[in-house]
Amino acid sequence: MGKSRLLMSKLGAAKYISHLDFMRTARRAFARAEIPLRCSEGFNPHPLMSFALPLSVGQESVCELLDFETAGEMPPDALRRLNAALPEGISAGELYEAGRKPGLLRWLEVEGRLYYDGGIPDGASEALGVFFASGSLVIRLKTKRGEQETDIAPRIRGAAFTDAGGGVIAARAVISAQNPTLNPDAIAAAAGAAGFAPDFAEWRRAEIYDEDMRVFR
Amino acid sequence: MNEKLKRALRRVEKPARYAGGEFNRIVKNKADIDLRVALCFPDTYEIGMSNLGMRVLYDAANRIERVWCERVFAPWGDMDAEMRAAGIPLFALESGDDVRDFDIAAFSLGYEMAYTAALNMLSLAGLPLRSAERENLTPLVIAGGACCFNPEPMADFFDLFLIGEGEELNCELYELLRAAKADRLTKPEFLRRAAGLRGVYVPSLYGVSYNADGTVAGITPREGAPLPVVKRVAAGFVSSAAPSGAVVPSTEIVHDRAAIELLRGCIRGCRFCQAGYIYRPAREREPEKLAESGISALKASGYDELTLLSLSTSDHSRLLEVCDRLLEYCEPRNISLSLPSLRADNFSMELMSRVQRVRKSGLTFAPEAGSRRLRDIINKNVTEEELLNTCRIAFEGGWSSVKLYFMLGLPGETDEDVLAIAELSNRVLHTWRAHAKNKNRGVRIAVSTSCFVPKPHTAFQWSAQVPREEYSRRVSLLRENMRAKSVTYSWHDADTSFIEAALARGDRRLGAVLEAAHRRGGRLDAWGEYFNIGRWLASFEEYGLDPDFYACRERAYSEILPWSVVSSGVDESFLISENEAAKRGETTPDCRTKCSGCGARELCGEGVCYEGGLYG
Repeated sequence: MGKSRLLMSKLGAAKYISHLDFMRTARRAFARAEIPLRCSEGFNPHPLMSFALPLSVGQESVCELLDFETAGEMPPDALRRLNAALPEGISAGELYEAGRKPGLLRWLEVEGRLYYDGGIPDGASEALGVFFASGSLVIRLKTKRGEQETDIAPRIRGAAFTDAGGGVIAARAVISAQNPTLNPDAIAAAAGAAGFAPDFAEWRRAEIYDEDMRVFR
Repeated sequence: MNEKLKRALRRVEKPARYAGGEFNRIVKNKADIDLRVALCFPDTYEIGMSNLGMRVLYDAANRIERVWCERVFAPWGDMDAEMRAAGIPLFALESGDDVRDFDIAAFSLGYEMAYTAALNMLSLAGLPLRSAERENLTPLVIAGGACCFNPEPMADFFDLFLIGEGEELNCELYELLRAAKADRLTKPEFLRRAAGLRGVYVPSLYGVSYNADGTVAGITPREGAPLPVVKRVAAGFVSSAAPSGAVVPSTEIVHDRAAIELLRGCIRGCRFCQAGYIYRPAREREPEKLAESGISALKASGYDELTLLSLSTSDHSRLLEVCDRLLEYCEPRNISLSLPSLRADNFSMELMSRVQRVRKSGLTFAPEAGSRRLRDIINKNVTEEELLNTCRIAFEGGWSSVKLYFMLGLPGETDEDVLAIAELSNRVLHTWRAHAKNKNRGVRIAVSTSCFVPKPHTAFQWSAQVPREEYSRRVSLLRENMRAKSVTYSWHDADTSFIEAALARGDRRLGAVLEAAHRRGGRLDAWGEYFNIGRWLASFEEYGLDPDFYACRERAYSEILPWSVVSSGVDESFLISENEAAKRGETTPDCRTKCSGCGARELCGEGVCYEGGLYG
């Protein structure tokens, strides 16, 4: 059997499951669904599976890719069985043979909600749109070498902001998925640098793309 | 999930602990429910989710129609602060609803150092701590678990205690409360009714008077409440299936594996061991039922490890058969079998070959004392020869790490006994040198000591705990004599054991001390990072009480013990004879070899009491 790929969603309460715990949860779901996974050889055998892009705790996603190898034939009703074995908020949408390597994944579309408890400051959405289009977005970013002034503009392909009512600005952005990666929280940080720091922000991965902005599967 | 909680969860460590939504959690339709139970564990999610009792009682309660039982755990300090700052009251994981709106908040008390966590959970729930200050029938605040065999220190806070095994008793209480709600009973009316249920202790129906020296002068039941309250034993354990539908956490917990209960009770009769006395009589589940339950637990959870739990796993008379039945399922699926609580005197080559089949975990044994003389005193009848023989088998079988648990401060302990721990550890090392299959990997022998805490309902319930300074001196003595590089020595903190000892054998007057300790910031005292001895000493002092009086005082047989309001079914005369035998250094045979007539046989019609020994 070659590599298989699962397109998964992680929503609601499940967004608090960390990357490592998500792996554990997925592994157990396969066991409950009675789909044996191919295991590594050796002293402490473990199933061979990996997620394309680790997702931060607290962020939702409708486009997680999980690659794995089964030990035997893939049962025809595998998708149904897996969905019955997954906890609340996690679901599997499509199951197919893995094609392109996850390394070719390049862009990530995210949706965010920026909360302003005192109401949206006048003109904030428009100002943010202009600010993000200005070509330079220098914020303090945690890197391997500690916190550093970083220009994140090259990692943002586009960002749009609209009033969603109720003190919330809806954000939509296409950002770098990997090499280098950008945590969407940096967008909220950049909004702060523009003078519009939200009181709270939440994010959801909406779609993943390759270099040419074609949907990646 | 509400906005406040979402924001709090963004800021705390391991938020998955508070989010719920796990696989196998039970969600019912509120419209179909007329009794809501919050099963509260006074420690973190990782600890509480690992607790077998929680798994068993959650399962039992949710089998009842129209009852919905949910889980509640203590938040870690960061979440505690967030909840207080944002005004988020303690909530249950399944529904997210506030605990104060439930019909019952049922706490599991298994460790004295978790008492402040229980109080803190009540406070987070927005409920008054003291039973007398909660006037309404609901939420009824109750407790069960091993610590309730001395309910007195927590008597002021709980409306009632459930003594003994909960599978049936809990459910009977739920039914009684459901009826009381329908009949619109007041809380006092309900409590009087509940006191008639076997195994229920309603502290407000008992008066306690004290002598001038601080000892108990008398315990007076009112309105027909029983004295003593005899513990409950669940019927039919032997042929029952172990619950197998446990909630599978979405984040790593302490014991992250499927578990089935192999035996209940223990045949050994170690004189220090509270569990060994209060869970009598010893009963073992049938191998067929165990295999069935184990396999369904694995199927329902997807875990890659199954643990066979009990107080002394290798004492199951048909353990090899159990293992073989399970391995037939586990081996082809890369599922490993783990057997904690093995005894060094009946660990065999046959057993070893079964536990190492898939993955090899470490081996742990608890000789408890270093010398034969002291092991005889505590009735831990494992010889040095047996231990070394077991280690030889393990080393020949490729194991290269062994953990050895001991206690310091046992009654009758001398410096020779302390040094014997070092000698025994060295002999284990020599055994490795002589028999190891692969010496290149080296060996790790981890020795740890805890400070002996005398517990109620044991043969040593009258004994004094050694003072903290003395325990520390013995630790130093042992440290200085643990020279080998491959032997590491670690020891438990004396301060925690001291407070644990004071609470374990405390009386009702400690309620005020516990309340004060909570007021001073006591939250998660079971955790080193939160425990603070100064807070405890100040709280004792505030009420003119001395922890030494409870922890370090030898009691006379004539003294009325605060916990005598509860009976484990083991006669006090038996405990006295065991304590006297300890002083003479005489051992008592295990229940399978010979029935020693402890009294627990009367509680239950099955188990080892009916399989051999005197009655066989």
